[in-house]
Amino acid sequence: MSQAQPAPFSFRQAAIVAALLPVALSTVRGKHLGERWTRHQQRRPLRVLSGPFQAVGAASRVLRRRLVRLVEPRLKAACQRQKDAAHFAPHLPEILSEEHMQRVETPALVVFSGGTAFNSIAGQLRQLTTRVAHVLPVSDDGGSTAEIVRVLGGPAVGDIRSRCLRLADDTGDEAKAVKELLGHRLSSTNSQEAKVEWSNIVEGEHKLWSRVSDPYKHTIRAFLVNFHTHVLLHTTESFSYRNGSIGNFFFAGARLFFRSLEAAIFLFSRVARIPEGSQVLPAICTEERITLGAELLDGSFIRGQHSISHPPQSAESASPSHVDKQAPGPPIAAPIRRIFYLSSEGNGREHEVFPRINHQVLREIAEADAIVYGMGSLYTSICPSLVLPGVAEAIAERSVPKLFLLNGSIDRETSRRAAGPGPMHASDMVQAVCHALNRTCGKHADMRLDHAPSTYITDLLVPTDSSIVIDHDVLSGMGIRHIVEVASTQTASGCLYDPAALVEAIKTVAMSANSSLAELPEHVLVEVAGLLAAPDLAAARLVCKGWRRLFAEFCTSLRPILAGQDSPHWEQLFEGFPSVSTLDLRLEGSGKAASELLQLPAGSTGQLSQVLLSNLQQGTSEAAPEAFLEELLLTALEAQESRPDLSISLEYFHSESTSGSLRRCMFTNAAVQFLVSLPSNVEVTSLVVPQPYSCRLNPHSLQQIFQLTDLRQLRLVLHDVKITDREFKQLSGFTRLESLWFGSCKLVSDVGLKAGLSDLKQLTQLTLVDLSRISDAGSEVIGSLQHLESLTLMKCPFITDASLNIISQLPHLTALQLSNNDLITDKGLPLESKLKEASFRACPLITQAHVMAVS
Amino acid sequence: MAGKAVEVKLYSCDGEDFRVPSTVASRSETVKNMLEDTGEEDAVPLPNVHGRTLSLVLDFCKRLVQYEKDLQDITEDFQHGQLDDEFNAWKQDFLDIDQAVLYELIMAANFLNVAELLDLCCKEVARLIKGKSPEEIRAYFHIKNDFTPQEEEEVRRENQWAFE
Repeated sequence: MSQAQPAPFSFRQAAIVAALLPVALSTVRGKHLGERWTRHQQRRPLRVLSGPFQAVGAASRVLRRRLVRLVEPRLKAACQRQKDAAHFAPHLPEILSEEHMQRVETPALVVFSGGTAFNSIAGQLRQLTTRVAHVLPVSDDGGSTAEIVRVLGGPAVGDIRSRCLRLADDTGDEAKAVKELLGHRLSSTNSQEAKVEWSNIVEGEHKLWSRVSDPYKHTIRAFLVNFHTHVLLHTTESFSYRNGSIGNFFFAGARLFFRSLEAAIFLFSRVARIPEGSQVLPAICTEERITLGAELLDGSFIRGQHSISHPPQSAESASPSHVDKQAPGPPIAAPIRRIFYLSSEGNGREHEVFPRINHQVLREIAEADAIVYGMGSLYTSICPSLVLPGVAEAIAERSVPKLFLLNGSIDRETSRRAAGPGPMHASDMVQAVCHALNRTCGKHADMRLDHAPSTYITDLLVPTDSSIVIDHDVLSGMGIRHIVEVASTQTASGCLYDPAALVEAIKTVAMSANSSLAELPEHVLVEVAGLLAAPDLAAARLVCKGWRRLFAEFCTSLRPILAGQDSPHWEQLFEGFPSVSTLDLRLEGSGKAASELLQLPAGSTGQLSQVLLSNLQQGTSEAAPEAFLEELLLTALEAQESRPDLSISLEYFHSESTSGSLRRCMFTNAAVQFLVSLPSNVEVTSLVVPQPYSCRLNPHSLQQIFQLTDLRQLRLVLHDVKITDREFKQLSGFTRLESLWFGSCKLVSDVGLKAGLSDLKQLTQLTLVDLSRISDAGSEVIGSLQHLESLTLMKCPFITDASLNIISQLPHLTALQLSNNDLITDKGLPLESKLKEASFRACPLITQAHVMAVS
Repeated sequence: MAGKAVEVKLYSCDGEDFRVPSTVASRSETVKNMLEDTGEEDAVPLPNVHGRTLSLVLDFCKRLVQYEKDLQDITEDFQHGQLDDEFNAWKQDFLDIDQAVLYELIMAANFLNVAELLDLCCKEVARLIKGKSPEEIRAYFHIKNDFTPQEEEEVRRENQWAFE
C-alpha cells in the first residue's frame, strides 16, 4: 500500500478494506492481508460496511489518523467510481470524526423559519439538540434591514442577525454585553439622536462597550467601521440611522468586507460561540438584492415582503424604517396564489428571478433526522425558502419525520381562503406548503412537481386553543394522519406555543423514528427482505415509500411463490424490482403449471441472470414426486432453451415429513433413478444428499449414482448400504470431482482407499468419516492429491506422524482436521506448514500450543 | 484456536464492565479486530452499545460458542439434530423481547458485526412481517403511510404477481 499515487480500489476491495480498517495496521506489521481479503470476500459484502466503519470510529485517535492516511485516498477513488459505494462514502469522514460518537444520541434537525416567530423556541431547542440547521430567507424588506438594502443593496440580514444572536452563547459577562450591543437599536423617533448615538458606538466610546474586552471590541468595531465607511462613501443616498440595529450594521459590514454573507455568519458563529452543530443558513447565497413578490388569486401582485405581511396602515406612516408587526394592516385583497422572487439586477428593470438554493441547505436536509417547518408568516417566512428549486426534491427524498408547526392564530397572509369564505384552515396551510414545494403555480411548467402533501409533511403540530380550524377529515385525506396538540399560552398577540412543550413534542416525533424497526440500516432491511416470500414482500413494499424504494434498488433475489397461479405478471414484477438478478421459484407439489410459470418475457427482465427452481415447500405433492421432478426438469430445459442467457438451476427435495425441517428431507431412490435417466445433454454436477442420518438409498441407487460421472461435488453418507472396497473403488470414476464428503468408510481398507482416490486429481475438499481400517499405507494416497485445500479425516486411529508429515505439507492445504488418533504427535506437524486452520480433536499427543504455533 | 481461556474486558457506553472469554468476545468481528490491534490486555470500549444490549449480545455469543463446542464433541450423527433443536429452542426464548429491545439488539449486532446474531434477528423481523397486511405492518412497526392513494394503487398494480 504505497501512498504515492494509489490505484483506486474496486468497490469490492473498498468494502473489504472498510471491513479491515481496524486490522489494516497489523497488516502493515506483516500479516497476510491477501488471505484475509479472500476470507472476507466470501461473506456478504453489504454487511461488512457500516459496522467496521464504526469500529474505526471507536478506535483510538492516533490509530484512526494513521488508518485514514493509509487507505482513505484509495477508498475515496473507489467511492467516486462506484454507485454502490454511496452507502458508505458519505459516512467515511463523518464516522472517522471526533464528534461522531457524541452525535449518536441527539437528532439533527433542519428548521425552515422566519426571523421572529421561531426565535422563542430556538433557545429552548438547545435542550434537545444543538445539531440544528436554521434556514432563513434573505428577502426581508422591513425595519432596519430595509434601509441597509435600500442604500447598500445586497441580501437582507435582519432575520439572520436575529437568529444568530438568539443562538449565541450568553454565559459570562462579556458574551452578555456583546449580545446586548448587537441587539441594541438606535432611537426610532429622532433621526438626529440616532445618528449621534451611532457615532458614539462606532467610535468605541458608547457605554455598551464597557464590559467588552479590547480585542473583542476591535473585532466587532472593525466591521462597524467598514459599514460606516460604505455608508459615507455613498454619493447619492443618505442613510437614516433611525431605529437602526447595531447587529444588522455589523452583519452588513462583515458581509461587505468578506463579499459573502456566509463568511459573515461564520465569523459571528465562531466569535459568539454558537454551538458547533448549529448553523444559520441563508436560503440563498447571493450578494444581490432580491425582493419577494406575491401573486394573488385575483391576478394582482404585491411587491415586497412587508407589503405582503404587514403593510403600513396609511400612506403617511409609510416610512420603511418603522414597521409595527402587531398591526394587522388593511385586509389582503385576495388569497395568495404563489410567492416568487424579483430582482432589478442586470437590466435595471425588475423581473422575476429563480435564485439558486444554498447548497449547504441541501446537504443538511440529506443528513437530517427530522425536518421542521416552523411557525410564523406562512407565505413570507416559510415559503420563500421552500419555493427554491432543489429543496422539494431533497425533502421528498428523505423518509424522516417532517413536522409542520401550525400557527396559533390567523395573520394577514392567511386571512383569506381560496376554497371558500373566511380564513385559511389547517388543510389550506398544508396545501400552501405543498404547493410552494411543488412549485405548483410557478411560472415554468417543467419545474413543477407532483408530490402529495404527505411527502413533505408527516406530522402536524397544533397549539391547543389555536384559532385556526383544524379540518381533520380533509387532512387525513391528504395523508396527514398525525396531528399532535401542544400546550400553548394566550398572549396579546394570540395563541403561542409553550416552548418547553413544543420542544418536547418535536423530540417525541423526531426521535420516535429512531427507535423503530422501520429505521433499521438499509442493508439489514434488505437482508430481511431476502427472507420474505412473495406475498409478504409485496405487503412490505406497500408499507411506505422508503421500503418500496429500498426493495426496488437492492433486492437482488426474489422468492415469489407461484403455486396455483395463472401465468404470473412478470412485467409488473420486474417493474417493481428492477434490480433482481436471481429468481428463486419455489414450486408446490403439483407440477401441472410448471411450464406455464416459466414463460419469462423474452426481454424486459432487467438484471435477471439466474433462475433457481426448487420445491422446497414442505408437506407437498399430491402428485407422484418423480412425475413432478420430471415436469420440473422439462420446464427448466425449456426455459433454458428460450433464454440461453439465464443460468437455470434446479434443486429437488422430497419431504416425507410434513412438520419436519429441511434436515429431514429424503432423497429417494426414485429420484436417483430419474437423475440417471436424464438426457445426455444435462450435466448433473452436484449431488448433495441433505442430511446423513435420514438417507435411505439402496445399493442399486448407489450404483446409479456412480454413473453420474459429471459430478463436481458429492456428499453422501449411507447407513443402509455397506460400503466395502468394492463400492469405494468406484469413486475413481468421478474424475472431475472437486469436493467429496463421504461418510461410512468403516469397512474400507488401504487398498480400497488408494483405488478410490488416486484418480481424483481435481479434489480440493475432502472429508472422510471413520477410517478405522486405514493405516499409513493407505493414507499416503491423500498425500498425492496436490490440489487439496481442505482435508477432514474423522476417526482415523492408525495414521502416524509419517503420513501427517506428508499431508500437512501439501502445497495448497490451508485447513486440516483430524480426530480420534492416539499416535500422532507434534513431530508430525512441521512448523513450516501453511495451515490457517488446524484442529485435532481427541488426539492427546498433539499439544494445543504447537497447533497454535503452526496455524 | 480453541482452548484459549484469556478473559477480555468490554465496556459499554453507560460504563458497564463485562468480562468474557476472548473466544466469546471474538464472535464479534468488530471486537475481534480491535483485540488483534490493541492486544487482549486493554479494555475494549464499545461506545455505541448500551450495557443491557451488550449483555444480550454476549449471552448469545456464549450460547453460540457452547453450541459449536458441543457440535465438535458429538460422536453420533443423530446428536446433531438434537443439538440443533436445543439451540433453536434457546433462540426462541432469547427472542422473546419487545420491539424496542429487538431494535437495539439489531443495531448492536450490526455494529459489533456478529453475523449469526444479525441473521437471527433478521429472521425474527421477517417473521414479524410474515402474514401481515401492509396496514398491520405499519401499525406494528409504527411506520407512517406516506403514499398517496394513487401511488398506493400503482404499487398494488405492480404487486399483482403476488396477490392474485
